[in-house]
Amino acid sequence: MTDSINDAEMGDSIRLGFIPLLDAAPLIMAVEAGFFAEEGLEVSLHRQPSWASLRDRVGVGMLDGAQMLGPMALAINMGLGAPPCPVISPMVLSRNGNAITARRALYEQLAATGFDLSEPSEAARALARVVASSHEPIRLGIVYAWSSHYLQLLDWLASAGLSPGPGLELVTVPPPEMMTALAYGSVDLACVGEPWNSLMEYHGLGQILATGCQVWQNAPEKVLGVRRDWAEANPEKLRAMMRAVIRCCRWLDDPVNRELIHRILVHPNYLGSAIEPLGDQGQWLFHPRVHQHFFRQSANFPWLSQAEWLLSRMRLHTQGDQVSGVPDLGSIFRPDLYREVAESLSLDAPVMDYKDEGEHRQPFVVEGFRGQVEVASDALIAAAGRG
Amino acid sequence: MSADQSGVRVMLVDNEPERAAMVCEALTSEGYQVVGQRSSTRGLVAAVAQEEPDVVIIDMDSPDRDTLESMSALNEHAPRPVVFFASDDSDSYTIQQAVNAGVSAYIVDGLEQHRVKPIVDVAVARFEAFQSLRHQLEETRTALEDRKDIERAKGLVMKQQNCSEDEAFHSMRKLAMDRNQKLSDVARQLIEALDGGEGAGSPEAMDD
Repeated sequence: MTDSINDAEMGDSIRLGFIPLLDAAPLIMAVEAGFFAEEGLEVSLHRQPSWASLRDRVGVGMLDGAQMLGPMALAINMGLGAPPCPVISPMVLSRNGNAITARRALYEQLAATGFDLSEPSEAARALARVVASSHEPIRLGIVYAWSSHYLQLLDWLASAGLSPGPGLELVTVPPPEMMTALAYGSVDLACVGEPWNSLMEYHGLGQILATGCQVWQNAPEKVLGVRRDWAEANPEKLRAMMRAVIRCCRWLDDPVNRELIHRILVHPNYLGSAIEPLGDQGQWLFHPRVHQHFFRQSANFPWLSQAEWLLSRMRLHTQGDQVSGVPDLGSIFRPDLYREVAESLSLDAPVMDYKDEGEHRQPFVVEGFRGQVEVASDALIAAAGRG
Repeated sequence: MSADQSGVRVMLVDNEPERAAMVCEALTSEGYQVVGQRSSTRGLVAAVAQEEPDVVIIDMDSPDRDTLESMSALNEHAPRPVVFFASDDSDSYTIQQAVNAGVSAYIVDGLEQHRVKPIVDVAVARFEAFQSLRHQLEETRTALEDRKDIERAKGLVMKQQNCSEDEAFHSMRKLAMDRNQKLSDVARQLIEALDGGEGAGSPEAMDD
């Protein structure tokens, strides 16, 4: 990475960071399929080796914005783990996309308990049974603490009254090493984003036990995060960029484009040859159980109620009082900006900023400014002893 | 080197052994105690418990940073990221410079900020020096390769045109000027055309 932080060299090009995961597709394909160009934008993409370095590069202004984890968009504003940097999140890039994959040997033990593993809370109970009878600790592999997959994992465990501890050890592993860790048994359960769960299944190393969408239905997974000072200095570019990404997200949801998406993402600059098998005959790029999607049912709308929900889970699942204070969520998630841009694309959007999170087991409709808008279900797994 | 720095223990995590050696030497000569050099964060929490470093310096582009930061969110004994608060301009400059150089730093037990900064500065200086060293090496290598290609193309032109070395060189230089290209690029195109064509043609002929 040779970016300069010199303002004079900022030029017209927008610099965006991404992590090589399937949900980087909205930014990658907006470049490769020409959505940015159609808006007259020049965008350079910068692959980052870790969420920490993505955050730091946005923090010092080497990047104008990036694909961010939902919780990270809040953490970066609150200065959790790094100096605070004002970032706005005017749209969601993807919903769902994580899963918990069990090593084959563990999966067999879980199946032998007789619990219905297709039910996530039953699967968690099966795990509790195995943990209770196991002499060795069960190791849970996670990637990053300020992420939805980690918060989902803890909610899933809580549904069976479990939490990490001596019998259930948390291990952190970078995503590309998760497959090896599962293969060699240094983790028994891998909680990670796509494409890694699909790949672990493809290589016969393990089986998906529960998916993120079974824990939090259709939660915001990755969001667009943009430095607030950049957004304020470039209001037109920001809107054009959002238009391009929204149109790209609509295009990504169309199954007709899957082959082209795969052909681009497999390039070494993006996800690389690891995802080659996902283009094989009969193998899916987007795992049917994961329900990863980018546009349908108002996927891009940044609900303030979901920012609140994320913050509450971050508070619940981190050590001590790291997550203290109440940030002004309305200045981070920006449904107002989304609505304005949607309008310019003749797309409808919800008129309200909040919905009752966890109350909808089925897709439902809310008032839009043109008519009614469909919104995806949002049921949440219940902690043991509740609901 | 102020006396109060001498007891500060530093752990290095870097998968570039040469760079790690440079940083290690610089820190040692400043009187710091380097208590371990590792190429990844594997086993880092245990190493931290054993070696009790005050500061961990890690290559910013190491994928292990997420591992390290997750440890610090989950484990109270794990190193925590150095947070230079934005209120002080000189510090925000340091962090920007550190990110540019590719250095990230984590503190283990609340070492005061004014004691961390000089350590980060030493690491940043060594990382920058290593970067420019690698740059120079790269340039030297390219220059060598260019010279080799030019020599080879010259030989091919001499053979083909049946001319002297000087004449071959002049015609190549003229070609480069006419095309507004670098001499080494012209040389590589000539090698491709004069040598590559021949080489690629023959097996085909044999197949027939």
